[in-house]
Formats: sequence, structure tokens, C-alpha cells
Amino acid sequence: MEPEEGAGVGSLIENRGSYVEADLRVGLKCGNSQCYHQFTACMHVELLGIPRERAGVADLELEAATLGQALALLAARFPDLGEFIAGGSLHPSLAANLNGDEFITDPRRALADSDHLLILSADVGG
Amino acid sequence: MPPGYHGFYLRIDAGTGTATRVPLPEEVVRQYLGGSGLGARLLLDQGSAVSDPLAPEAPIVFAFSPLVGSPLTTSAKFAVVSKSPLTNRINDSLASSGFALAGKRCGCDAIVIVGRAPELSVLVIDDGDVRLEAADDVRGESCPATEEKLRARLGSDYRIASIGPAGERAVRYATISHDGRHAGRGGSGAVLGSKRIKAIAVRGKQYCEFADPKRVTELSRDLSKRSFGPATAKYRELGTATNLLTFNRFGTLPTRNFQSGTFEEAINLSPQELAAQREKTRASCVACTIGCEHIYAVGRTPQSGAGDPHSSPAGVRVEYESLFALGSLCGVGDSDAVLRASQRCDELGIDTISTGGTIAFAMECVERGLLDESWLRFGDGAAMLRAIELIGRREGIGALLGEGSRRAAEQIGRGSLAFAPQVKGLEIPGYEPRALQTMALGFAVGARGADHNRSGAYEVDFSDKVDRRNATLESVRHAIETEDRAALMDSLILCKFLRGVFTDIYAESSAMLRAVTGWDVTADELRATARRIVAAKHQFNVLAGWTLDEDTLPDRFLDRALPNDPAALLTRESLDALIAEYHRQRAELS
Repeated sequence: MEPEEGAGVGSLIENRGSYVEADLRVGLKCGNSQCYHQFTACMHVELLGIPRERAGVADLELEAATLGQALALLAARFPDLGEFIAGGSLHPSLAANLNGDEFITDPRRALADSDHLLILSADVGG
Repeated sequence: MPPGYHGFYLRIDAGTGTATRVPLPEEVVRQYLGGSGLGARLLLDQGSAVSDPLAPEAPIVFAFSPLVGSPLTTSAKFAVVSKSPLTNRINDSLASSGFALAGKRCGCDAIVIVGRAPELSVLVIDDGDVRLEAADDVRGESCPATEEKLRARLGSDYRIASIGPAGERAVRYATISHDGRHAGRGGSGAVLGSKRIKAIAVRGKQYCEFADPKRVTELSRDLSKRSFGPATAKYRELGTATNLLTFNRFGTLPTRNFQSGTFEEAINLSPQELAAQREKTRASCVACTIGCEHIYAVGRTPQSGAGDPHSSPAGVRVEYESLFALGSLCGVGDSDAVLRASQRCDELGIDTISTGGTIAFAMECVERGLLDESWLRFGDGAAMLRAIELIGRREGIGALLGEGSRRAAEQIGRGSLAFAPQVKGLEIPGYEPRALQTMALGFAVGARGADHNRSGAYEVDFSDKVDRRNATLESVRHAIETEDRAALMDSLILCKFLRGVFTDIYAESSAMLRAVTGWDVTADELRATARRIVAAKHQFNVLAGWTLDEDTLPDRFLDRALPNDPAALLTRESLDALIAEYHRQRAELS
């Protein structure tokens, strides 16, 4: 079940609002790593800089299948992060990093169990 | 001359205390705008590339810009441009805030100072009239005390830029301070000190008009509104130190003279921890809506109480670069020692990055048995503070360390140049080059040496555009883009903390410039302008003796992985390829 052309998964998630988490836990596996309806991953999320300041926590566990879903869940859980997250994407002033190695931006990017997602301020320097 | 400009610069001979109003052709200001760009062009015109930067004839330029005096947020800034006594290459440092407004109201777009005063003096520019006054009462005074005494003497409507004791003694990384902020890098304070100018006091009443005042107001309102948004949240909420823990987490926080990228006591230096332990206030420059200054009380921890002998009511403005250089780089995790060190650097008028970098280098020399100063050890905050005092007075080991890490290494010898943390003589800021390789390129090719304000390539490393630990030729164009953007912002002038609010900085800047000057300037023209300014700085360096082999990094960073991160390996071959591609693309763009 590919997302519709031109309609990112992020917006789909945003439209589903509070049903997102329940849907994710149903987990309709189709084998496509880009697919929205895959099993969710249980990952560790670490917040740094402004995201940590706004959320008031340094890290947490989250279940999501894609970056967009993870961000939507964060926005729902921490309203003060809301202005940084729209349509499953981060405002350019924040960045997402996977496992300390790779910076990722695509909301459809699949996440795996045991992934470590870091959310930080993007314009890093002074 | 178009609105936004006076069409003149003041050329002042400090030897005689006389000034000449020199016309500035419109084509010059259109090609170089103001700030760093205009300063570079004026330096070239003065033929100063071959001068000893501390010789009387060497010019130092204070350049304003067309946006100074407008309501555009963060535009109250000035650039100080000269040949650097630290690098012998071009140096441009920027500072805020009221000095820029008052200086421009003196009826000039720049002030060029040559010559040497007969005695330590205050240069007073009163609405364009120039005189020298004795500075005996402020000799040896700190930067804040100098400003305070001179305002009391001259009047509170003067805005004053001053040097501290370090500038008087020609410490090669001495700063010029104004209102708590510093034109910090490259030793412009030593250049002013060599002219026996302790301070410059300016006031004036000559305002520039705008071509389209209504449009300027509209653009200003829009920019101010956006400056309150998410793009600048980090500066408002935590300050430039926001990502200190992020850097530590990614193994890119330079520690113990770049021997590691992680610091076990980093948490002590984080803004969150500082705020939990201390009183904090916020401030902003004149005409700024961001308010990035986070000022922490020094010595007033709940544990120490008000009786702490080191307690200071003034507090200290904390920046990431100061925390890194005087903290992790020296292995000092005692936040109070780091804050006091930062405060002393501000008072003495020395650049915190070069101070920390040079002391950290000396600490490693002691550790390796290359320097007989056994008291100077990594992690010892009291020793660091002692070293700072000695540098400010140029006494004992301070005489050597006041020369900067490259000259110190050349004197110490025995292979120490390999780990002197500098490029072209300028100490490296707080970004580990092996783990941030696009930034490594930016450091290597920077006209003023290793620098994070003239190349913002660290942003590229912290993005999905490149692999930060495996730079490819694709990194080069990103490095060039950030360098060009910095050249534009430093010449317009706008604070770089605004950079995140722009969707297309060239298009938006051209709109501002059109409204202020009336020029039919386009985004493409400003792109070409930015490249011209970068090229002018390079041209100065070529005339000063630049050769390609100085575009590099110290041996420490090449062919050996960062100890805490085996994947962070930058080979000499790879860096050389990046540098060659950089110069190829620059040549193509010029």
C-alpha cells in the first residue's frame, strides 16, 4: 500500500490525528519497507538541545514505522514541539539522525527495531 | 551616492590626529556593499597586504553598511578589517551594536586609521570632527572599565570601542570590545594598540535616508516577526551553547587539545546545567529582536553563596565557543572556572577561542615534556586562569602564549607544530575536523584561517547532504555556498543568527537592498557580489604571500582516526583533493 503520489505519509498521519498510534499497533505487514502499513518499530528516541528543552525529557521509547510517524507522535505527546513538526517533517531548524551516523529527512524513511533516533537543533554552531 | 550611504570614508592619521573625508565611488559600494566586503576592498586600495600588521602605516578599517541605521533587525553591526598579526593574512571581525549606529552617524561609511599616536590616546570622532585625547586615566584598564570611564569623561551619548590590557601589549589575538561584545578573532586589538589607540569614541547626527522608507518598514516588520519564530528559538532559549551536549553526543566536541571528541564533564558546561546552578539574565544587541545573550552570574552557586570571593555581580555572557575553548579543550569541567576565564578574557580583551586553543596546546606540551611549566595541566581551572592573567600581561609563559599557538610551536619545536590547533595561525573553533569533514575543508581554505563564522560548513555536516565522516567532492559546493552566504551577511551586514529565517537569502537581501538604496539589485547580482568579496580576501592573501600549502590542517588531524571514533578518519589525500576541487570551483566562479 504505497502512499498516494504527492501525498506524503506525514500528511496522512497528521490527518489521522489521534488514531495514528492505534493504527500503527495493528501493524499490517506487506513487506514493503516504504509502506506505511508495516510493523512498527520500538526505538529509542534521544532529544538534544531545544527539543530536549521543549519536551522536558532527554529520551524516551517510541513505537513507529517511519520517521514521519515518530515525529507525529512526538508532536502529539509534546505540544511545545509542535511548531517544529508539521506534516511529519521537521522544521529546518531541527534535524533527525539515525544511530549517530546518518541524518534523515524523508518522512517515509522506515525505522527498525533497536534504532536510535536523535532529534537535535540543526543550525548547530554559535 | 544612493540612499543608505554617505559616500565617504574617514581616513584618520593617528600620528597627527587629522582626518580626511575620502569619496567612495558608487560602483565600489555596489560591488562590495559594506562591512567585510568594503573593508577588504579598502585594505586592497591602501596597498597594505605587504605591510607588517603592527607597523604604523598598516591600516585598520571600521566598516559600516547600508543597512546600519535601518530598522532591519540585527543590522547594527560593524566590521573591523586589517591584516592580522596572528596570521599575516586578512582579518575581518564583526561586532555589535551601538558603535555601528553612532559611527555611521559621523557621516562616513567607514573609518580607516593609519599611523601611530605619540602617546596612548583616545580617538574621539564627534560628528565627523576628529581629535586625540590622552588616555593616561584608562591605561591598563579592562575593556568594560575603559568604556565606563570614557563615557563619564566624554558624555553618555558617545559609543566607545576599546582595547584591554592585552591590546596595549600587542597580544596577537587581542580583541576590540564594545558594549560587552568583541571583534574577537585575529588580533585587531593588537593592531589598534600598535597605533597607541586605547579607544575610539564616536557620536554623530548625520542620518542616511532610505530610497523607499515605507518598504523598509514593511520588510523590517516582516523580518522581526520571523525572527521570533522557530528558526531562532535556540538562540533565545538556550543561546549559542544549545548544542554543546549534542556535539559531545556526536563525538565532535574538541577535548584536551583535540585529543578526543568527547568530554566526560560536558554536562557541567551545558546551558541547562548552568541555568540550574546560577542566576541568569538575557540581553540583546541594539536593534536586535533575537536576544541571544545569556548572561550567567559568576561564583554564585547555591553551594558557594554570596560570600564567594570570586562572585561577580556583572555576570558573564556565555557563548558556545568560550565554553568549548576554555572548558573541554583545556579539560576543565569546573563551570565556575570556565565562566571566570571567559569573563577575564573579555576584561583583558583577548579572543576566547585563541586563548583556550593556545593554553590547551601548552598543556599538551607540558604533558609531553616539551614545556617546563609543570603547573599548567589539563583539567586545572586555576592553572588556566593563571595562564590567562599571564597572557594578558605578557609575563612569564604569557609572553610566549600571547604569540598564539603557531608561533609558540615554532619556538618550542620538537614536532609540536603537528598538534598546534591552528590554520594559518588562527586557532581552530569548536568543531572536530575529523568528524566534520566539510567543516574541515572550510577551515583549511578559510582566508582568515580556521574559522566558523566565515564558513558555516558544520551545518552541512549536520545534514543529509553529506556524510560528515566521509567527505566527497560533493561537499565542496556546499562549503562554497556557506562561505558565500557568510560573505554576503558580513557585508550587508546582518547577524548570522538570522540565517535560518530566510528561504532564499539572496532574493530577500536584494529586496532589502533595493528598498534602502534604490538600486535595481537582483539575487543573482548579490551572488556575484558575495563571490567577489571572497575573491577580494583571497587576493589580499595572495599579495601578502599566500601559497597553496598553507590551505591545510595540522598533522594531528590527518591520516589518523579520532581516538573515540574510528570512522572519523580524514586522509591527507582526501583533504588535498577537496582543497584542489575547492580552488578549481572558485576559479570557475570568478
